Order: sequence, then C-alpha cells, then structure tokens
Amino acid sequence: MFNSSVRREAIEKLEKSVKRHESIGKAVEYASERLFKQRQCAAGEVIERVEDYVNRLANSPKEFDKSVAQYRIEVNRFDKTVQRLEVEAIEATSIASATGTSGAIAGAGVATLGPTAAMAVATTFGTASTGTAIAALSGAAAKSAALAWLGGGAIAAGGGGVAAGKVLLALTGPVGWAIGGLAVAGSAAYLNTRNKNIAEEATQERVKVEAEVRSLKTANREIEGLGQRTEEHSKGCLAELDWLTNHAPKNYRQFNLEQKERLAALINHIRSLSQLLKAEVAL
Amino acid sequence: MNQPDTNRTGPHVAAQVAATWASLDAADRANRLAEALRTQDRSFLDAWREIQHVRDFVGSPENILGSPDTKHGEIAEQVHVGVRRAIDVLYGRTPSATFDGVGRLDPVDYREAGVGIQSKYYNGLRNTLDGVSEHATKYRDFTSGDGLYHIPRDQYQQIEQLSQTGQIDGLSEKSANAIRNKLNEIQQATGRSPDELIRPGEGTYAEVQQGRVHDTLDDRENRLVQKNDELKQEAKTEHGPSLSGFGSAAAIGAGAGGGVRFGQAIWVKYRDGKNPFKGEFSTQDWKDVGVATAKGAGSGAVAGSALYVLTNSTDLAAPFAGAFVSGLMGVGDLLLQHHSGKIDADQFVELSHIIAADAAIVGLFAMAGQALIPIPMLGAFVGCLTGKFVASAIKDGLGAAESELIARLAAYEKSALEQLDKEFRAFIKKLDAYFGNLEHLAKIAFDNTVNTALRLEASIQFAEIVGVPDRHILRNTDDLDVFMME
Repeated sequence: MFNSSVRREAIEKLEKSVKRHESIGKAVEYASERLFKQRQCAAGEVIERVEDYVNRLANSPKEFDKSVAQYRIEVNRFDKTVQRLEVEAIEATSIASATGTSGAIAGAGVATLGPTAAMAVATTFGTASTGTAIAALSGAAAKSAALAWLGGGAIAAGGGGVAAGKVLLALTGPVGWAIGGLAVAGSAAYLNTRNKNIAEEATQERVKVEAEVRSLKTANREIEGLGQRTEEHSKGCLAELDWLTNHAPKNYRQFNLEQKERLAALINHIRSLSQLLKAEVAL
Repeated sequence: MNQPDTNRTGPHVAAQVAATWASLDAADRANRLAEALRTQDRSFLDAWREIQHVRDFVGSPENILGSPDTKHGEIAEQVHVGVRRAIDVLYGRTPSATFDGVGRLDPVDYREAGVGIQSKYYNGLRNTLDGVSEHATKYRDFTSGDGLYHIPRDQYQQIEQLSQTGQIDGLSEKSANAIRNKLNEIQQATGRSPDELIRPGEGTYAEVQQGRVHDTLDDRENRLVQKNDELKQEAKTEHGPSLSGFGSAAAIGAGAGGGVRFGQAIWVKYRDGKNPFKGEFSTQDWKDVGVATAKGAGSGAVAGSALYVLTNSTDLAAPFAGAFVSGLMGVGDLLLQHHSGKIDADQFVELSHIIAADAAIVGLFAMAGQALIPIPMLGAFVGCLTGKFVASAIKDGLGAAESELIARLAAYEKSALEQLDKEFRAFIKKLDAYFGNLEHLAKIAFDNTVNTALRLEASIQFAEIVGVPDRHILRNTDDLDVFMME
C-alpha cells in the first residue's frame, strides 16, 4: 500500500548493489596495491639492472625512458615520507570531516585506504589531485605531492582535487552516502507519491551504482592483466639478463647474431615494460 | 501486514452505527427539550398575566370595596388568588384559586381547590381573630362545612409560634394569653381546630397595603422568574445525556460491531468452502466465529460509549465523530502492536494512514447513506457497508497502481542493466583479447626453445602493441648496432 513496499524493495536492492560496489572496490584496491608492488619491482630491480647492463656493454649511457627514472624517484621519496604521512593523513581526515566538502569525502576515502593504498590507487589510475599523471610528476616536494595524492592538498586548495577525488570516491563512497540520505528521508516520508519518487530515485541510483560496479570490474580485470604482464615480463627480462650476463661476451663487438637478437629483444622488452609501468587504467 | 484488512473495517462500521444512533438520540432529546422550554415559556407568560390582573385591579382604587383604610382587605384577596393562580399556571396546572361563582358580599371571598375561603386581614392578630370569630358566629354554615379563613402570613406565623413556644415575640404574656383564649373560643364556637380552620394568605398584613402592594407584586413576579429558570434547568437536565443513553449507545455499538464481525467471520468460512446452512461448520468453526463476534462487540461497545460522550459534548457531526473514534481506536491498537514489536515504525505510519482513510471513507458513506435512505440507522448502516467496499476497492486500486509501478521500475532496471552488461561484456572481451595477445607473444619471446629471430619478432610486436614509439623499437641487429655504437 502507498508504494511503500516498492520503496522498501528498491532501497534493499540499492543497498545490495552498494554492498557489491564496496566489495569490488576493495578488490580493486588490493589489486592496485599488488600492481604497485609489481611495478616498484619492475622499475627498480628489472629496468634499472637491464639499463645498467646495456650502458656498461655499450660503454656509454643510452637513452631510456626518463619517466621510469622519475617514477622511481617519486616512489622512493614516497616511501620515505609514508611514515610521516600516516600521521598527517589522520589530520587531513579530521580537517576533511570538519569542512564537510567533497574534499571531505576524498579525505575520508584516504582514511579508509591508508597512504600506501592511496599511492597505489593514484599510480594505478594515473592521476594526482592536480590531474597530472603521476609518472610526469617531478620537482614537486615529495610531501606536498603525496599529500596532494591523498586529497589533503585538495582540501587546502578548496576542493581542487577533483581528479584524485574522483578515483577515491569511486572506491569509497558517494553511493553509500547517498543511500544514507535516502534512508533518512524514507523513514520520514510515507506518502504515496513520496514513496514512488524514492523508489524511482533508488532504482536510478542503483543503475548508476551497477554501472560503477561494472566499471570497477573492468578496471580490476585490466589491473590484473597489467600485473600479470608486468610480472611475467619482469621475470622474462631478468632470465634474459642472466643468460646474457652468463653466456655473452663482456664486449658488444664480440656478440654473435643469436646474442645480438636476444639483446635487441631484451631492450625492446625493457621499453615495453616501461610502457606497462606507465599504463593507466581508465575508470 | 500482520492483520487482514477485514479486521480493520469492523470498528468503523460499528462506530458509524453507534454515532448515528447517538446523534439521533441527541437530536430527539434536543427536540423534546426545545418543546419543553417552549411550553415553559408559554406558562410563564400566562403566570405573568395572572399577576398583571392583580396589578390592573389595585391600579384602579375606585373598584375596591371599603374605605381607603380598609381597601387592603380586598387587595389581600386579589393578591392571594392572583399569585396562587400564577404559580399553578407556571407549573402547568389548572389554577386552583378563583373568584368565579362568588358574590362580592357572600360569606365566601374566593375559592381555592373548591373550598370556600374567607379572607380576614386586620391590623394585629388580635383584631384579625376577632374578625374570624365574629364571622364564624355569624355564618355557622360556613364553618360547619369546609370553609377556611385566610389571615395575614405574618400573623399566622405568630399563631404557630404560640403553639410551639407558648409565647409570641413582641407581645406580653397577657396579650399572648388573650390570643390563646381567642383561639380556644373559636374552636369551641366552630367545633374545628384553629390549625385546620385558619390558614395563611399569600401576603403579610403590610404587604397588601395600598402603598406596598406594587412592591409585593414585583417581589412575587421575581419569584416567578426565578422559579421559571429552575423549571427550565430541570427540563435541560431531564432531556440531557443519561447513563441509560450511554448504555444504549454501548449496546448498539456492540451489536453493530459484533454483527459485522459475525458476518465477516461467516463469510470467510463460507469462502473457504464451509456452508453453515448445510451444517458444514465444526465446533471449532463456530468457536472462531464466536470469538470474532465477541471481539467485534467489545470494540463496538467501546466505540459506542465513546461516541455517546463525544456526540453529546461536541458539535461534531455523527459520521465525523464516528470516524474520529474508530480511527483513534484503530491507531491506538496499532500503537500497541508497534510497542510490542509486531510492526515496525514504517508499517505503523502506513497502517495508520490506511485506518484513517478507511474511517473517513466509511464516515462519508454513512453520511451519504443517511441522506439517500431516510430511514434512521438503516441509511447509515447501508452507507457504512458501501463505504467499506469502496475503501477496499480503493485499496485494491492503490495496490494495482503499485503493481504497475513495480512493473515499470523492473522494466527500466532490466533494460538499463542489460545495456550495462552488454557494454561490460564487450569491454571485457576487448581486454581479454588484448592481454591474451600479449600473453601469447610473451610466451614466444621468452621461450628458449624458439629460435632467436622469431623471439625478436615477438618482442617487436609486443612493443608495438603496448605503445612503444616506433623509433625506440629495435627491429633487427642493424638497429641494435646503431643503438649500441652511437
């Protein structure tokens, strides 16, 4: 009667969708962290070692992808400040909840993600609060850049951190918050029309949430794919590096055809790996 | 919904029937009261006219017998007869006092309740008793019959005081003794006790004097007004709400509530395939019907008695009073269910709305039924039952609208999600193809059993796919030489 059962059902379904959204969001978060570690390993152990080997062999520094080096620098600086950031993130969160803006939601998102996860998410989806690709970030003080990733800068700048916010929001929450509002309104509103409107809104909201769910699932698949390729490529490159180190002469001029072909392939692989490292997952 | 719909309309019907009865009863009593008040006002006017006759008489001194000093004797007669008549008329009785059939010089001055009266008003009790004695001696027939003497009220009180205390205020013992002797003398002369023979007239000696009589009449008139008010008040109490009316209202509510629930209970059983007229009811079935009927009667009685009070203490029209009471009872019941946790806050609000709507609809139809079928109670009852059906039809309508909304939302959701799934599958397919291709190339590129030319080719294709700029891809050993040697 009075459409209240429709309203109840629509809200229940929406809640279920939001739950699904939450769990897939968590999965994306973990996948991002795993990818982040795979990339750290690829940038440090693999790319750096192969570059060193090639440079030594050629007796001159070769032109490799500079952004990989920058990526390494940023990540190193980030590692150093994580300890401090964990403290500051908590502060940022309390500021955020006090201001109550969209930045607040981003801040809250950071609190649930934690600095490492936030960094992972930021690198996976490739944007910081300035909207710049992480890989292209340079010169910025590690602390302020990292804080910007965390959404703290966004709050200080008055909600400028929409891009980072968007990713974080997608993982942590406006849908859940919206449903809170619906539920509160629902307990007070009971009339036929009101219930009908709520049922319609909840259904539309659910479709949006379901769209997000699929978007996150896609992202998850992409992150997993990137992770597998990165890991296999890293392993392959290291195996090739071992083989060349053990079986090829120290001087490039003494390389035979097979050795040259394997070295050319390794250099191609390293460049591919850099690409995989920089690849951003679209949401 | 923890309660079937049918249970909720019962009190509404019972309340409407009880409300109708209560308002009919109230209207009937109001009519009778109005009639009683009209009669009383007419009586008062007639009584006032009797006093007016006396005024007319004392206003024309030339008509009064005797010298100016003795005119009060006839005034006393007029005052007594006029006031007595006025009081009788005010109470709606036939006037008992009259001058009719009495000659002016007869031994009888007037008659009261058929008894001849001689009025003796002299200055002082002693003189009055002398007058009585003289008259009694002269007209033996008068005293041997049932004739009575009226004397001034104040002097009669003196006689009373004498018989009770043996003395009279303001008189010497000697004078009192003389009066006692006079009374004895009258008793001996007439053979009748002075207590019986001598009665008080309406006025005191002073009150009937020419200069005072208008004040006296004003005073008696005021008493009439006061008495009239008292009589009107009595009429209002007599025709007001009563305990028996309260009981009747409860009984009628119980009857209607029980009846409706009885009918419903029988109907539900019948619908389930049991016909009581064919003896298909078990003891349990009758027990169920009995319990339902008793419950209906109970709530009907409560509604009925509440409505009797409400109808008689407010100006609420019966259908609305009925709706008010049954709605309140229904919501009260829901509140209990809510407190005991049988229904949640949401259901409480929703069911309250339904009850209020039911009560209102049944109330409106009771009013319409009353107007269309001008048989008291029946019209309201038929209206109620119609309203009950309309209310459930509206509920069905709301339910249908709800089903329609459910279907519409489900259709929207289905098509939207199907579209999303389609896009999702297409995208996943693309991703799988992309990464599948890369995986295949990586397998060749890192396979030691494959010849190195093929492995280089795989690395080139891989680099192209992941977006390595063309100028950075080493396509053969010449490219490598250039890169390494430069």
